[in-house]
Amino acid sequence: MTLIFNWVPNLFSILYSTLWIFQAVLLVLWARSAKKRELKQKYTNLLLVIGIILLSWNVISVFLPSVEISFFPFPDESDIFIINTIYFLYSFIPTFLHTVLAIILVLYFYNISYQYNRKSLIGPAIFLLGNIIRLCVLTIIYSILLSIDWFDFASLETIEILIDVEAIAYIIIDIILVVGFCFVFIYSIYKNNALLIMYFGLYFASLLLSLFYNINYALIEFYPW
Amino acid sequence: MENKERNRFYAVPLIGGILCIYAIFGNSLLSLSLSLSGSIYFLAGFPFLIIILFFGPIILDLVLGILMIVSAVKMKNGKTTLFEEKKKLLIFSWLVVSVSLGLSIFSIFGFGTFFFFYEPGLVGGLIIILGNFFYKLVTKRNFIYGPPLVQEGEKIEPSPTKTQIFYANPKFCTNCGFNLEEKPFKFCPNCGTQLISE
Repeated sequence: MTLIFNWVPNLFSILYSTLWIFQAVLLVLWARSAKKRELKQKYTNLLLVIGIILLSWNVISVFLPSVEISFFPFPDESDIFIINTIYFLYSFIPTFLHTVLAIILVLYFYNISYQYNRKSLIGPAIFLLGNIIRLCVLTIIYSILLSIDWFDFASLETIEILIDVEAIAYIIIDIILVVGFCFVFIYSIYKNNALLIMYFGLYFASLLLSLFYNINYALIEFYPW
Repeated sequence: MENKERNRFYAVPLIGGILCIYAIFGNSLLSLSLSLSGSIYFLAGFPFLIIILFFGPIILDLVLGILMIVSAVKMKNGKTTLFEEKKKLLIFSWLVVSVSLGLSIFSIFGFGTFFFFYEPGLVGGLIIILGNFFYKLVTKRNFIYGPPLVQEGEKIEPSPTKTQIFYANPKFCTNCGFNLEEKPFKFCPNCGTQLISE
């Protein structure tokens, strides 16, 4: 087992990390400017706080450590447990942060525009639903992977099924998130604020990008030839 | 008209254009890594495929992305309006989306995956198309945010004859109907109510 960086510089990861960092900066800038104008400051304060947390996570995630398993000598159970725990944590923390962001967006929309039109909660509610489903799927899959006996040949089939299920589940979850975030993007255009349009537009773009990435991954997984 | 309203739609083509021109960095880095690792010889048998799949998105996305950013900056500075730029933006974004989607499907048939880096151009074009559509939703119809607005078609413009009455002196008293004969009275000589020009 050797210590390495978790972040591998390739085309997709460079684009994706840059997008997420830029987005978090835009969220912080918008929340700072909205604090001066808006009457209900509680929710813009919450958005500012989650923006700072997301920004720091996105910057830290580039420098996070990970481990690499070498097959000579052959890895034992503790090595596999460590690497699975690391993968679980590094995918659980951002999903959890985005769930918190979705909850704050639901609260914000409830207090800003729910009184005028009850349909305005559709977008953030679908976004929250998608994030919660993603959290549940992650927890279930990794709890099975962590509890499974990796040195038994009978469990190989289970692992293969889990990887296939994960690939399909992520596509479905991304479609739910994109549909939900459409309505949030419409809100930014309604609000007519440049920073907000850029933030929600880039978030929407990164959701679409992750959808295409997951489709690409599934194509590699299920390509018959 | 749109300059007075301080329209901020320029943010949408700005991010769309930035995403579109990212495709050139992606594809150049990819080709560099392929040639460094020696895998470029794998593609040597398919020159037409390389020309179409590789140079197509590079040139198209770069040029159209730069044009989108230019029009966004012009809109920000108030030199043009969205009304003038809309047709151009829609044509460019549809071109980028159709070309990158078509080539990605082509590369799926050829290689089984998105072999080159089409996603940013695709997403950038989609953002501009959807942004235009959402802008239409928000401005021309009553959508789900905010109180219901009066639609453009429902607005009743005041007729020119009514505006003349609005600024003229009152001819009749509003309370008793006494004929004032266009004299500048402040109070009605018949009943004594204050006269307000409507």
